[in-house]
Amino acid sequence: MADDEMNMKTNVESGAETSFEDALKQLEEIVHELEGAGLTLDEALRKFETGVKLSRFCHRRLDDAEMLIEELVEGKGDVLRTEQVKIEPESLKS
Amino acid sequence: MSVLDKNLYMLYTVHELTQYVKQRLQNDPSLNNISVRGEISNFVHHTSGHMYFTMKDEHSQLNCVMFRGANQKLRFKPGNGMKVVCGGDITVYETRGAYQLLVWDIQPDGIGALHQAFEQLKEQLFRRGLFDDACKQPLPPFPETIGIVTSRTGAVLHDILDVIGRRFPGVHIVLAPARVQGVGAAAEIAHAIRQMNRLSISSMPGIDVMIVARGGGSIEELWAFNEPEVAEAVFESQIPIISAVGHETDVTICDFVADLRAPTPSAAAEIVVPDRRQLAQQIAGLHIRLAHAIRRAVDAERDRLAYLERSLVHPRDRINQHRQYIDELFRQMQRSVLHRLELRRKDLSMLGATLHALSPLKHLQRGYSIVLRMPDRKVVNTVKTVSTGSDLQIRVTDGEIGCRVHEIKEVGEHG
Repeated sequence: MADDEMNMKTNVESGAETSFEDALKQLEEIVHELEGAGLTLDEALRKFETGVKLSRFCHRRLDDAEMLIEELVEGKGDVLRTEQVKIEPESLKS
Repeated sequence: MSVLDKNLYMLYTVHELTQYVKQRLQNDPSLNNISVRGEISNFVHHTSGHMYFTMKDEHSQLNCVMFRGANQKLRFKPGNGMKVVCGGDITVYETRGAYQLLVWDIQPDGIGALHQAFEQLKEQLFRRGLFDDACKQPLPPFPETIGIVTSRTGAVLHDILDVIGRRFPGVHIVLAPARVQGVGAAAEIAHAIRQMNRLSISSMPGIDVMIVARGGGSIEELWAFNEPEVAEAVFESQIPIISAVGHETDVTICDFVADLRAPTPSAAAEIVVPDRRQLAQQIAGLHIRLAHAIRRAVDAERDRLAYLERSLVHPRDRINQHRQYIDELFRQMQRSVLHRLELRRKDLSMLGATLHALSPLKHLQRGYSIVLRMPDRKVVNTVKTVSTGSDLQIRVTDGEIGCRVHEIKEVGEHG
Protein backbone atom coordinates (compact mmCIF):
# COMPACT_ATOMS: atom_id res chain seq x y z
CA MET A 1 0.00 0.00 0.00
CA ALA A 2 2.67 2.42 1.04
CA ASP A 3 4.71 1.44 -2.00
CA ASP A 4 1.77 1.93 -4.33
CA GLU A 5 1.18 5.27 -2.84
CA MET A 6 4.78 6.23 -3.38
CA ASN A 7 4.71 5.10 -6.99
CA MET A 8 1.52 6.91 -7.63
CA LYS A 9 2.86 9.98 -5.96
CA THR A 10 5.95 10.04 -8.08
CA ASN A 11 3.84 9.40 -11.14
CA VAL A 12 1.51 12.21 -10.31
CA GLU A 13 4.41 14.50 -9.74
CA SER A 14 6.20 13.52 -12.92
CA GLY A 15 2.87 13.81 -14.69
CA ALA A 16 3.12 11.37 -17.52
CA GLU A 17 2.62 7.77 -16.50
CA THR A 18 -0.50 7.76 -14.36
CA SER A 19 -3.61 7.24 -16.41
CA PHE A 20 -6.65 9.34 -15.73
CA GLU A 21 -8.56 6.20 -14.82
CA ASP A 22 -6.01 5.13 -12.20
CA ALA A 23 -5.80 8.61 -10.75
CA LEU A 24 -9.57 8.90 -10.44
CA LYS A 25 -9.80 5.45 -8.85
CA GLN A 26 -7.07 6.29 -6.35
CA LEU A 27 -8.73 9.58 -5.54
CA GLU A 28 -12.00 7.77 -4.82
CA GLU A 29 -10.21 5.25 -2.61
CA ILE A 30 -8.48 7.96 -0.63
CA VAL A 31 -11.75 9.80 -0.06
CA HIS A 32 -13.33 6.56 1.20
CA GLU A 33 -10.41 5.87 3.49
CA LEU A 34 -10.46 9.36 4.88
CA GLU A 35 -14.21 9.25 5.40
CA GLY A 36 -13.93 5.98 7.29
CA ALA A 37 -12.26 5.70 10.65
CA GLY A 38 -8.97 4.02 11.40
CA LEU A 39 -6.31 6.37 10.06
CA THR A 40 -3.86 8.14 12.30
CA LEU A 41 -3.72 11.88 11.82
CA ASP A 42 -0.33 11.62 10.14
CA GLU A 43 -1.64 9.02 7.71
CA ALA A 44 -4.75 11.07 7.08
CA LEU A 45 -2.71 14.18 6.33
CA ARG A 46 -0.43 12.28 4.00
CA LYS A 47 -3.37 10.80 2.15
CA PHE A 48 -5.04 14.16 1.99
CA GLU A 49 -1.98 15.64 0.36
CA THR A 50 -1.89 12.82 -2.19
CA GLY A 51 -5.62 13.24 -2.80
CA VAL A 52 -5.23 16.91 -3.52
CA LYS A 53 -2.47 16.14 -6.01
CA LEU A 54 -4.61 13.49 -7.70
CA SER A 55 -7.54 15.83 -7.91
CA ARG A 56 -5.36 18.50 -9.53
CA PHE A 57 -3.90 15.93 -11.89
CA CYS A 58 -7.39 14.82 -12.97
CA HIS A 59 -8.49 18.39 -13.55
CA ARG A 60 -5.38 19.11 -15.58
CA ARG A 61 -6.01 16.01 -17.65
CA LEU A 62 -9.59 17.14 -18.32
CA ASP A 63 -8.46 20.60 -19.29
CA ASP A 64 -6.14 19.11 -21.86
CA ALA A 65 -7.98 20.11 -25.04
CA GLU A 66 -5.43 18.92 -27.57
CA MET A 67 -6.80 16.15 -29.77
CA LEU A 68 -4.13 14.22 -31.63
CA ILE A 69 -5.52 12.74 -34.84
CA GLU A 70 -3.42 10.24 -36.74
CA GLU A 71 -3.96 7.93 -39.64
CA LEU A 72 -2.77 4.36 -39.86
CA VAL A 73 -0.37 3.98 -42.76
CA GLU A 74 0.99 0.74 -44.17
CA GLY A 75 4.62 1.18 -45.06
CA LYS A 76 6.95 -1.07 -46.98
CA GLY A 77 7.38 -4.62 -45.71
CA ASP A 78 4.06 -4.60 -43.92
CA VAL A 79 5.34 -2.09 -41.40
CA LEU A 80 2.59 -0.11 -39.71
CA ARG A 81 3.00 3.47 -38.64
CA THR A 82 0.81 6.45 -37.98
CA GLU A 83 0.89 9.89 -39.54
CA GLN A 84 -0.70 12.97 -38.14
CA VAL A 85 -3.60 14.23 -40.24
CA LYS A 86 -5.09 17.67 -40.39
CA ILE A 87 -8.70 17.37 -39.38
CA GLU A 88 -10.13 19.89 -37.03
CA PRO A 89 -13.40 18.89 -35.42
CA GLU A 90 -16.03 21.65 -35.35
CA SER A 91 -16.20 21.51 -31.60
CA LEU A 92 -12.51 22.37 -31.27
CA LYS A 93 -12.50 25.30 -33.68
CA SER A 94 -12.15 28.50 -31.80
CA MET B 1 -26.23 -21.92 -106.20
CA SER B 2 -25.81 -24.70 -103.72
CA VAL B 3 -25.12 -24.69 -100.00
CA LEU B 4 -22.34 -27.11 -100.80
CA ASP B 5 -20.49 -24.53 -102.87
CA LYS B 6 -17.34 -24.10 -100.89
CA ASN B 7 -16.67 -20.73 -102.42
CA LEU B 8 -19.84 -19.29 -101.10
CA TYR B 9 -20.32 -20.98 -97.68
CA MET B 10 -18.13 -22.38 -94.89
CA LEU B 11 -19.03 -25.95 -94.25
CA TYR B 12 -18.71 -27.11 -90.61
CA THR B 13 -19.56 -30.15 -88.71
CA VAL B 14 -21.81 -29.38 -85.70
CA HIS B 15 -18.96 -30.06 -83.41
CA GLU B 16 -16.60 -27.79 -85.31
CA LEU B 17 -19.09 -24.96 -85.23
CA THR B 18 -19.79 -25.44 -81.56
CA GLN B 19 -16.09 -25.43 -80.83
CA TYR B 20 -15.70 -22.24 -82.82
CA VAL B 21 -18.56 -20.48 -81.04
CA LYS B 22 -17.22 -21.67 -77.72
CA GLN B 23 -13.82 -20.23 -78.44
CA ARG B 24 -15.25 -16.92 -79.61
CA LEU B 25 -17.35 -16.58 -76.54
CA GLN B 26 -14.63 -17.60 -74.14
CA ASN B 27 -12.10 -15.26 -75.66
CA ASP B 28 -14.44 -12.28 -75.56
CA PRO B 29 -13.45 -10.11 -72.59
CA SER B 30 -16.97 -8.68 -72.44
CA LEU B 31 -18.24 -12.13 -71.56
CA ASN B 32 -15.66 -13.05 -68.99
CA ASN B 33 -15.55 -12.06 -65.36
CA ILE B 34 -18.95 -10.46 -65.58
CA SER B 35 -21.82 -9.84 -63.20
CA VAL B 36 -25.36 -10.59 -64.26
CA ARG B 37 -28.47 -9.45 -62.42
CA GLY B 38 -31.65 -11.48 -62.47
CA GLU B 39 -34.05 -13.74 -60.65
CA ILE B 40 -33.40 -17.43 -60.01
CA SER B 41 -35.78 -20.06 -61.34
CA ASN B 42 -35.65 -23.81 -62.04
CA PHE B 43 -33.15 -24.12 -59.23
CA VAL B 44 -31.74 -27.62 -58.76
CA HIS B 45 -29.09 -28.58 -56.27
CA HIS B 46 -27.98 -31.85 -57.79
CA THR B 47 -26.79 -34.81 -55.70
CA SER B 48 -23.39 -34.33 -57.31
CA GLY B 49 -23.22 -31.04 -55.38
CA HIS B 50 -23.45 -28.84 -58.46
CA MET B 51 -26.18 -26.25 -58.81
CA TYR B 52 -28.19 -25.73 -61.97
CA PHE B 53 -30.62 -22.90 -62.44
CA THR B 54 -31.94 -20.30 -64.80
CA MET B 55 -31.58 -16.57 -64.37
CA LYS B 56 -34.37 -14.57 -65.89
CA ASP B 57 -35.84 -11.13 -66.22
CA GLU B 58 -38.96 -9.91 -68.06
CA HIS B 59 -37.45 -10.57 -71.47
CA SER B 60 -34.84 -13.29 -71.34
CA GLN B 61 -33.43 -16.35 -69.68
CA LEU B 62 -29.89 -17.50 -69.06
CA ASN B 63 -28.79 -21.00 -68.13
CA CYS B 64 -26.43 -21.09 -65.19
CA VAL B 65 -24.28 -23.69 -63.53
CA MET B 66 -22.40 -23.37 -60.29
CA PHE B 67 -20.08 -26.24 -59.47
CA ARG B 68 -19.71 -27.73 -56.04
CA GLY B 69 -16.30 -26.19 -55.32
CA ALA B 70 -17.70 -22.69 -55.83
CA ASN B 71 -21.11 -23.10 -54.21
CA GLN B 72 -19.67 -24.54 -50.99
CA LYS B 73 -18.32 -21.07 -50.23
CA LEU B 74 -21.78 -19.52 -50.42
CA ARG B 75 -22.97 -18.06 -47.11
CA PHE B 76 -26.65 -18.42 -48.01
CA LYS B 77 -28.93 -20.78 -49.89
CA PRO B 78 -30.03 -19.59 -53.33
CA GLY B 79 -33.59 -20.43 -54.24
CA ASN B 80 -36.30 -19.85 -56.79
CA GLY B 81 -37.57 -16.29 -56.97
CA MET B 82 -34.50 -14.87 -55.29
CA LYS B 83 -33.06 -11.76 -56.94
CA VAL B 84 -29.34 -12.13 -57.26
CA VAL B 85 -26.23 -10.88 -58.96
CA CYS B 86 -24.12 -13.73 -60.31
CA GLY B 87 -20.46 -13.38 -61.05
CA GLY B 88 -18.99 -15.71 -63.67
CA ASP B 89 -17.95 -16.41 -67.23
CA ILE B 90 -19.98 -17.27 -70.33
CA THR B 91 -19.15 -20.76 -71.59
CA VAL B 92 -20.72 -23.21 -73.96
CA TYR B 93 -22.04 -26.60 -72.97
CA GLU B 94 -21.09 -28.49 -76.11
CA THR B 95 -23.32 -31.52 -75.69
CA ARG B 96 -26.41 -29.31 -75.92
CA GLY B 97 -24.81 -26.53 -77.91
CA ALA B 98 -26.07 -24.12 -75.30
CA TYR B 99 -24.26 -21.19 -73.88
CA GLN B 100 -24.44 -20.74 -70.12
CA LEU B 101 -23.07 -18.70 -67.28
CA LEU B 102 -20.46 -20.54 -65.27
CA VAL B 103 -21.10 -18.99 -61.85
CA TRP B 104 -18.38 -18.60 -59.22
CA ASP B 105 -20.20 -16.27 -56.82
CA ILE B 106 -23.74 -15.25 -56.06
CA GLN B 107 -24.67 -12.10 -54.19
CA PRO B 108 -28.21 -11.52 -53.02
CA ASP B 109 -29.77 -8.54 -54.76
CA GLY B 110 -32.78 -6.56 -53.73
CA ILE B 111 -34.31 -6.16 -50.31
CA GLY B 112 -36.09 -9.51 -50.11
CA ALA B 113 -33.03 -11.48 -51.01
CA LEU B 114 -30.77 -9.45 -48.78
CA HIS B 115 -33.07 -9.91 -45.81
CA GLN B 116 -33.17 -13.61 -46.42
CA ALA B 117 -29.40 -13.79 -46.75
CA PHE B 118 -29.05 -11.64 -43.64
CA GLU B 119 -31.23 -13.97 -41.58
CA GLN B 120 -29.39 -17.04 -42.83
CA LEU B 121 -26.00 -15.54 -42.09
CA LYS B 122 -27.12 -14.32 -38.69
CA GLU B 123 -28.34 -17.81 -37.82
CA GLN B 124 -25.10 -19.35 -39.08
CA LEU B 125 -22.81 -16.98 -37.15
CA PHE B 126 -24.98 -17.28 -34.06
CA ARG B 127 -24.49 -21.02 -34.11
CA ARG B 128 -20.75 -20.49 -34.47
CA GLY B 129 -20.86 -18.46 -31.27
CA LEU B 130 -19.83 -15.13 -32.75
CA PHE B 131 -22.58 -13.30 -30.87
CA ASP B 132 -21.92 -14.90 -27.47
CA ASP B 133 -22.19 -12.48 -24.59
CA ALA B 134 -19.31 -14.32 -22.95
CA CYS B 135 -17.04 -13.09 -25.76
CA LYS B 136 -18.02 -9.45 -25.31
CA GLN B 137 -15.23 -7.27 -24.00
CA PRO B 138 -15.96 -4.45 -21.57
CA LEU B 139 -15.32 -0.94 -22.85
CA PRO B 140 -12.66 1.09 -21.03
CA PRO B 141 -14.25 3.91 -19.02
CA PHE B 142 -11.59 6.46 -19.93
CA PRO B 143 -9.91 5.54 -23.22
CA GLU B 144 -6.76 7.43 -24.11
CA THR B 145 -6.39 6.13 -27.64
CA ILE B 146 -9.42 5.52 -29.84
CA GLY B 147 -9.34 3.75 -33.19
CA ILE B 148 -11.86 4.66 -35.86
CA VAL B 149 -12.57 2.50 -38.90
CA THR B 150 -14.70 4.36 -41.40
CA SER B 151 -14.58 6.23 -44.67
CA ARG B 152 -11.93 8.92 -44.90
CA THR B 153 -14.49 11.09 -46.65
CA GLY B 154 -18.01 11.87 -45.61
CA ALA B 155 -19.70 13.26 -42.55
CA VAL B 156 -19.35 10.25 -40.26
CA LEU B 157 -15.71 10.80 -39.33
CA HIS B 158 -16.36 14.50 -38.71
CA ASP B 159 -19.45 13.76 -36.62
CA ILE B 160 -17.51 11.35 -34.42
CA LEU B 161 -14.54 13.68 -33.98
CA ASP B 162 -16.88 16.55 -33.29
CA VAL B 163 -18.67 14.75 -30.48
CA ILE B 164 -15.42 13.48 -28.97
CA GLY B 165 -13.98 16.99 -29.18
CA ARG B 166 -16.99 18.36 -27.34
CA ARG B 167 -17.00 15.72 -24.59
CA PHE B 168 -13.39 14.78 -23.97
CA PRO B 169 -10.93 16.37 -26.39
CA GLY B 170 -7.71 15.17 -24.76
CA VAL B 171 -7.57 11.85 -26.56
CA HIS B 172 -5.45 10.29 -29.26
CA ILE B 173 -7.36 9.23 -32.41
CA VAL B 174 -6.08 6.67 -34.87
CA LEU B 175 -8.00 6.49 -38.11
CA ALA B 176 -7.86 3.41 -40.31
CA PRO B 177 -9.69 4.46 -43.46
CA ALA B 178 -11.78 1.93 -45.36
CA ARG B 179 -14.35 2.11 -48.09
CA VAL B 180 -17.67 1.34 -46.49
CA GLN B 181 -19.73 0.32 -49.52
CA GLY B 182 -19.34 -1.32 -52.87
CA VAL B 183 -17.17 -4.13 -54.14
CA GLY B 184 -14.27 -4.90 -51.82
CA ALA B 185 -15.59 -2.75 -48.97
CA ALA B 186 -15.99 -5.71 -46.63
CA ALA B 187 -12.41 -6.78 -47.26
CA GLU B 188 -11.16 -3.25 -46.56
CA ILE B 189 -13.13 -2.96 -43.35
CA ALA B 190 -11.91 -6.35 -42.12
CA HIS B 191 -8.35 -5.43 -43.09
CA ALA B 192 -8.55 -2.09 -41.26
CA ILE B 193 -9.80 -3.82 -38.10
CA ARG B 194 -6.95 -6.33 -38.24
CA GLN B 195 -4.33 -3.67 -38.94
CA MET B 196 -5.63 -1.65 -36.00
CA ASN B 197 -5.08 -4.70 -33.79
CA ARG B 198 -1.57 -5.18 -35.18
CA LEU B 199 -0.74 -1.53 -34.52
CA SER B 200 -2.12 -1.79 -31.00
CA ILE B 201 0.14 -4.73 -30.20
CA SER B 202 3.25 -3.10 -31.65
CA SER B 203 2.81 0.43 -30.33
CA MET B 204 2.80 1.90 -26.87
CA PRO B 205 0.36 2.76 -25.61
CA GLY B 206 -2.05 0.51 -27.46
CA ILE B 207 -5.48 1.31 -28.78
CA ASP B 208 -8.04 1.14 -25.98
CA VAL B 209 -11.23 0.93 -28.01
CA MET B 210 -12.33 1.04 -31.65
CA ILE B 211 -15.37 2.46 -33.43
CA VAL B 212 -16.42 0.81 -36.69
CA ALA B 213 -18.82 3.21 -38.33
CA ARG B 214 -20.81 4.11 -41.39
CA GLY B 215 -23.59 6.58 -42.03
CA GLY B 216 -27.13 5.65 -42.93
CA GLY B 217 -28.04 3.99 -46.20
CA SER B 218 -30.06 1.30 -47.88
CA ILE B 219 -29.58 -2.32 -46.95
CA GLU B 220 -27.54 -2.75 -50.13
CA GLU B 221 -25.30 0.15 -49.17
CA LEU B 222 -24.80 -1.22 -45.67
CA TRP B 223 -24.23 -4.73 -46.94
CA ALA B 224 -20.47 -4.78 -46.41
CA PHE B 225 -21.16 -4.81 -42.64
CA ASN B 226 -23.14 -8.01 -43.07
CA GLU B 227 -20.30 -9.88 -44.74
CA PRO B 228 -18.80 -12.79 -42.82
CA GLU B 229 -15.27 -11.49 -43.22
CA VAL B 230 -16.16 -8.31 -41.35
CA ALA B 231 -17.95 -10.36 -38.69
CA GLU B 232 -14.87 -12.54 -38.26
CA ALA B 233 -12.48 -9.60 -38.02
CA VAL B 234 -14.70 -7.96 -35.40
CA PHE B 235 -14.95 -11.21 -33.48
CA GLU B 236 -11.20 -11.76 -33.50
CA SER B 237 -10.37 -8.20 -32.45
CA GLN B 238 -8.51 -7.91 -29.14
CA ILE B 239 -9.57 -4.28 -29.03
CA PRO B 240 -13.16 -3.77 -27.84
CA ILE B 241 -15.32 -2.61 -30.75
CA ILE B 242 -18.34 -0.34 -30.86
CA SER B 243 -20.32 -0.92 -34.02
CA ALA B 244 -22.15 2.14 -35.33
CA VAL B 245 -23.57 1.40 -38.75
CA GLY B 246 -26.38 3.41 -40.28
CA HIS B 247 -29.28 4.89 -38.39
CA GLU B 248 -30.99 3.61 -35.27
CA THR B 249 -33.24 1.23 -37.17
CA ASP B 250 -30.45 -0.32 -39.23
CA VAL B 251 -29.08 -3.51 -37.77
CA THR B 252 -26.11 -5.31 -39.26
CA ILE B 253 -24.25 -8.51 -38.53
CA CYS B 254 -21.35 -6.30 -37.44
CA ASP B 255 -23.62 -4.90 -34.69
CA PHE B 256 -24.28 -8.37 -33.35
CA VAL B 257 -20.64 -9.40 -33.24
CA ALA B 258 -19.32 -6.12 -31.84
CA ASP B 259 -18.85 -5.66 -28.10
CA LEU B 260 -21.40 -2.87 -28.17
CA ARG B 261 -23.85 -1.56 -30.75
CA ALA B 262 -24.36 2.17 -30.92
CA PRO B 263 -27.49 3.41 -32.72
CA THR B 264 -25.52 5.98 -34.74
CA PRO B 265 -21.88 7.05 -35.22
CA SER B 266 -22.47 10.17 -33.09
CA ALA B 267 -23.95 7.96 -30.35
CA ALA B 268 -20.83 5.79 -30.52
CA ALA B 269 -18.74 8.88 -29.85
CA GLU B 270 -21.00 9.74 -26.91
CA ILE B 271 -20.51 6.26 -25.52
CA VAL B 272 -16.79 5.99 -26.10
CA VAL B 273 -15.67 8.99 -24.04
CA PRO B 274 -17.09 10.37 -20.80
CA ASP B 275 -18.34 13.94 -20.58
CA ARG B 276 -15.52 16.14 -19.38
CA ARG B 277 -17.84 18.55 -17.55
CA GLN B 278 -19.58 15.78 -15.64
CA LEU B 279 -16.22 14.33 -14.69
CA ALA B 280 -14.97 17.71 -13.59
CA GLN B 281 -18.01 17.98 -11.33
CA GLN B 282 -17.39 14.50 -9.99
CA ILE B 283 -13.78 15.34 -9.22
CA ALA B 284 -14.75 18.64 -7.64
CA GLY B 285 -17.18 16.67 -5.47
CA LEU B 286 -14.41 14.30 -4.43
CA HIS B 287 -12.18 17.25 -3.66
CA ILE B 288 -14.84 18.71 -1.34
CA ARG B 289 -15.30 15.39 0.41
CA LEU B 290 -11.55 15.16 0.79
CA ALA B 291 -11.44 18.59 2.45
CA HIS B 292 -14.38 17.73 4.73
CA ALA B 293 -12.85 14.45 5.73
CA ILE B 294 -9.50 15.96 6.64
CA ARG B 295 -11.21 18.75 8.58
CA ARG B 296 -13.21 16.18 10.52
CA ALA B 297 -10.07 14.16 11.20
CA VAL B 298 -8.21 17.23 12.44
CA ASP B 299 -11.19 18.36 14.56
CA ALA B 300 -11.48 14.93 16.11
CA GLU B 301 -7.80 15.01 17.04
CA ARG B 302 -8.20 18.51 18.43
CA ASP B 303 -11.11 17.36 20.62
CA ARG B 304 -9.07 14.45 21.87
CA LEU B 305 -6.21 16.76 22.69
CA ALA B 306 -8.51 19.15 24.58
CA TYR B 307 -9.87 16.24 26.58
CA LEU B 308 -6.38 15.07 27.46
CA GLU B 309 -5.40 18.60 28.45
CA ARG B 310 -8.33 18.75 30.85
CA SER B 311 -7.22 15.49 32.42
CA LEU B 312 -3.73 16.84 32.97
CA VAL B 313 -3.99 18.43 36.56
CA HIS B 314 -1.34 20.19 38.75
CA PRO B 315 -0.20 18.27 41.92
CA ARG B 316 -1.34 21.16 44.11
CA ASP B 317 -4.82 20.53 42.88
CA ARG B 318 -4.58 16.98 43.99
CA ILE B 319 -3.35 18.03 47.46
CA ASN B 320 -6.29 20.39 47.76
CA GLN B 321 -8.54 17.61 46.67
CA HIS B 322 -7.19 15.39 49.42
CA ARG B 323 -7.43 18.14 51.94
CA GLN B 324 -11.00 18.67 51.13
CA TYR B 325 -11.63 15.00 51.36
CA ILE B 326 -10.09 14.82 54.79
CA ASP B 327 -12.30 17.67 55.95
CA GLU B 328 -15.20 15.84 54.59
CA LEU B 329 -14.26 12.70 56.48
CA PHE B 330 -13.77 14.69 59.66
CA ARG B 331 -17.21 16.20 59.37
CA GLN B 332 -18.68 12.80 58.85
CA MET B 333 -16.87 11.47 61.91
CA GLN B 334 -18.07 14.39 63.99
CA ARG B 335 -21.61 13.87 62.97
CA SER B 336 -21.37 10.22 63.81
CA VAL B 337 -19.93 10.80 67.33
CA LEU B 338 -22.53 13.42 68.23
CA HIS B 339 -25.22 11.13 67.12
CA ARG B 340 -23.98 8.37 69.36
CA LEU B 341 -23.73 10.74 72.38
CA GLU B 342 -27.27 11.79 71.85
CA LEU B 343 -28.37 8.17 71.89
CA ARG B 344 -26.51 7.55 75.18
CA ARG B 345 -28.09 10.61 76.70
CA LYS B 346 -31.49 9.26 75.92
CA ASP B 347 -30.58 5.91 77.46
CA LEU B 348 -29.38 7.64 80.59
CA SER B 349 -32.57 9.60 81.17
CA MET B 350 -34.57 6.45 80.77
CA LEU B 351 -32.43 4.73 83.37
CA GLY B 352 -32.89 7.75 85.72
CA ALA B 353 -36.64 7.35 85.51
CA THR B 354 -36.40 3.67 86.31
CA LEU B 355 -34.07 4.36 89.18
CA HIS B 356 -36.40 6.96 90.58
CA ALA B 357 -39.26 4.46 90.55
CA LEU B 358 -37.21 2.10 92.66
CA SER B 359 -36.04 4.70 95.28
CA PRO B 360 -36.67 3.85 99.08
CA LEU B 361 -37.86 7.40 99.67
CA LYS B 362 -41.14 6.31 98.04
CA HIS B 363 -41.65 3.91 100.98
CA LEU B 364 -40.98 6.70 103.50
CA GLN B 365 -43.86 8.66 102.03
CA ARG B 366 -46.18 5.80 102.70
CA GLY B 367 -45.25 5.91 106.44
CA TYR B 368 -42.34 3.55 106.60
CA SER B 369 -39.08 4.82 108.04
CA ILE B 370 -35.53 3.74 108.11
CA VAL B 371 -33.63 3.39 111.35
CA LEU B 372 -29.93 3.98 111.27
CA ARG B 373 -27.41 3.09 114.01
CA MET B 374 -25.15 5.97 114.89
CA PRO B 375 -22.58 6.90 114.25
CA ASP B 376 -21.93 4.43 111.50
CA ARG B 377 -25.43 4.85 109.95
CA LYS B 378 -25.88 1.15 109.50
CA VAL B 379 -29.48 0.25 108.68
CA VAL B 380 -31.11 -1.43 111.66
CA ASN B 381 -33.06 -4.40 110.51
CA THR B 382 -32.49 -6.68 113.55
CA VAL B 383 -32.33 -6.18 117.36
CA LYS B 384 -28.86 -7.57 117.29
CA THR B 385 -27.54 -4.46 115.59
CA VAL B 386 -28.25 -2.28 118.65
CA SER B 387 -27.83 -2.34 122.42
CA THR B 388 -29.46 -0.32 125.24
CA GLY B 389 -28.19 3.25 125.18
CA SER B 390 -27.25 3.19 121.46
CA ASP B 391 -27.97 6.37 119.54
CA LEU B 392 -30.25 6.01 116.51
CA GLN B 393 -31.40 8.25 113.79
CA ILE B 394 -34.85 7.71 112.20
CA ARG B 395 -35.16 8.75 108.62
CA VAL B 396 -38.55 10.04 107.53
CA THR B 397 -39.60 11.82 104.41
CA ASP B 398 -38.72 15.30 105.52
CA GLY B 399 -35.88 14.74 108.05
CA GLU B 400 -34.35 12.67 110.81
CA ILE B 401 -35.28 12.16 114.40
CA GLY B 402 -32.51 11.51 116.99
CA CYS B 403 -33.40 8.74 119.52
CA ARG B 404 -31.77 6.54 122.23
CA VAL B 405 -32.48 2.83 122.86
CA HIS B 406 -33.85 2.19 126.33
CA GLU B 407 -35.31 -1.33 125.93
CA ILE B 408 -34.63 -4.28 123.60
CA LYS B 409 -37.19 -6.99 123.16
CA GLU B 410 -36.49 -9.88 120.99
CA VAL B 411 -39.44 -11.58 119.35
CA GLY B 412 -39.71 -14.75 117.31
CA GLU B 413 -39.67 -14.61 113.68
CA HIS B 414 -42.88 -13.21 112.25
CA GLY B 415 -44.09 -13.09 115.74
